[in-house]
Amino acid sequence: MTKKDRLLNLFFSVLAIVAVWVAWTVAYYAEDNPYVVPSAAETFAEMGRLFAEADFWRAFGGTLLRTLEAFALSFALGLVLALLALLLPRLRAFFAPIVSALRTAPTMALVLLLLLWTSHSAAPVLIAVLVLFPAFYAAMLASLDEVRAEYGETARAFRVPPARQAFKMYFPLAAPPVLGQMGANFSLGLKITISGEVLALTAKSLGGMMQLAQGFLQIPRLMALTVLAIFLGFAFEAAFWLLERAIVRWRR
Amino acid sequence: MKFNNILKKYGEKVALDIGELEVEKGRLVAVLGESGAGKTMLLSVAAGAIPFAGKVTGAGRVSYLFQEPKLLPHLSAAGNLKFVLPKMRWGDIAPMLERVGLKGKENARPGELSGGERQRVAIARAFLFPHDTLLMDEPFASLDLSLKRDLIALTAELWRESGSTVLFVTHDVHEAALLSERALVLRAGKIVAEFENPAPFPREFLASPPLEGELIRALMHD
Repeated sequence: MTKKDRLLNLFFSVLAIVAVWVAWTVAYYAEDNPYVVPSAAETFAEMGRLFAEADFWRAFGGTLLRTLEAFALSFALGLVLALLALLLPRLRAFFAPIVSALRTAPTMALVLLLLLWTSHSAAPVLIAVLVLFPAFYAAMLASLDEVRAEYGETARAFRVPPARQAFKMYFPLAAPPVLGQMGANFSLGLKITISGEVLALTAKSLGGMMQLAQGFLQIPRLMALTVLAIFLGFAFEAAFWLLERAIVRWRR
Repeated sequence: MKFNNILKKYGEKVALDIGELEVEKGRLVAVLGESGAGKTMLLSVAAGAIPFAGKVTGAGRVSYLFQEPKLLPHLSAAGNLKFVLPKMRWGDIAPMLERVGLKGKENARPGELSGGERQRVAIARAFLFPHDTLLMDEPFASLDLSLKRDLIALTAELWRESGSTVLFVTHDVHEAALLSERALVLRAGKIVAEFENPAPFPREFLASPPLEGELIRALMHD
């Protein structure tokens, strides 16, 4: 990518942010009711007040921890099951309908069921796992399949032991596409975790705070929490992008 | 290496049907044929990579040279050799890379090498890997002429130094005539013609080896 391309891309990204801000401002003036659409200025002022609250940081930490927990569990589950599916074609067939069902199951209905079966704190984590795991599993299996199709014959022909194939061939070559999706998956996990917290009214959570803010008609606070969740997602997407660039140097 | 009563079928269709075939130790035998004649299948049978009826004996340890080098993109040229030869020391790998013309490019990744250089790494891998038999599946098919000339000459040198038995599948009559000591023509899974190629090595790439005409006639069903 040339420097001109990079500058153009940056320009259009900034343009998108400006477009959102313009739409927000238009909506604010059109509605003319801060209890329905607060202004951007009010929202950012509320964000400043949130930073001063100890409860906010506890909620922030709780949500972040739950998202990371769900992310790590989904990643581990996706990796183990994708490896098993790669090795055992029958298991791939066994997993296929389960993964498909998880992909199509209505998230909110699952949260309601999980609330019956588990705690208000565990339900958001589990629902995020149920949403993220199929994404990780599918991405990992597709990457591993691609590596096998491309290089498996060579490894078999030269009788490379399975462990060496795994660590020297499958993992390094399957990692880039999976790493490329990790940022987006983290954002998705954060979104699902917060949705679960909203429904479960989880204590010490951003979702719980959002639910309370909505209940008490503190709309700038609700908007501020939403914008903060978006910023958090952006931050992790950027971190995973940097991680990918640092790890996968051979691709450049 | 001996092939005895080899029969490979897909449904009712006979893909390979070879009664007796002996490839003498240390010889380079070319297998020619049109697409679908069973050339690559003969290699798979020799490698024991697919189920078939019959028996192959005497192949010993097998090494391979494929049409595409299939190098791991994240490993260097030397790393790709180490991948299949983990116990091999630098002292063995470096001279071989030098031998195939890659001195100074040992640490270059496949993305930093030209197509010809990547195939040189594959040739180094094929000859360095401990083997009694080398199976070559159209390794020069996708190369341009000057590169083909160089790599055929290099392969001929390495083969003669190594003393390996080589089964070389190709659809290119000129390649077969240049590199082989003996050539078989396959059609519909059966050996329909067989020629000795006594021309001495090194052979001149630009010359038309005498075997070429005979092979063309055999391939064209004349």
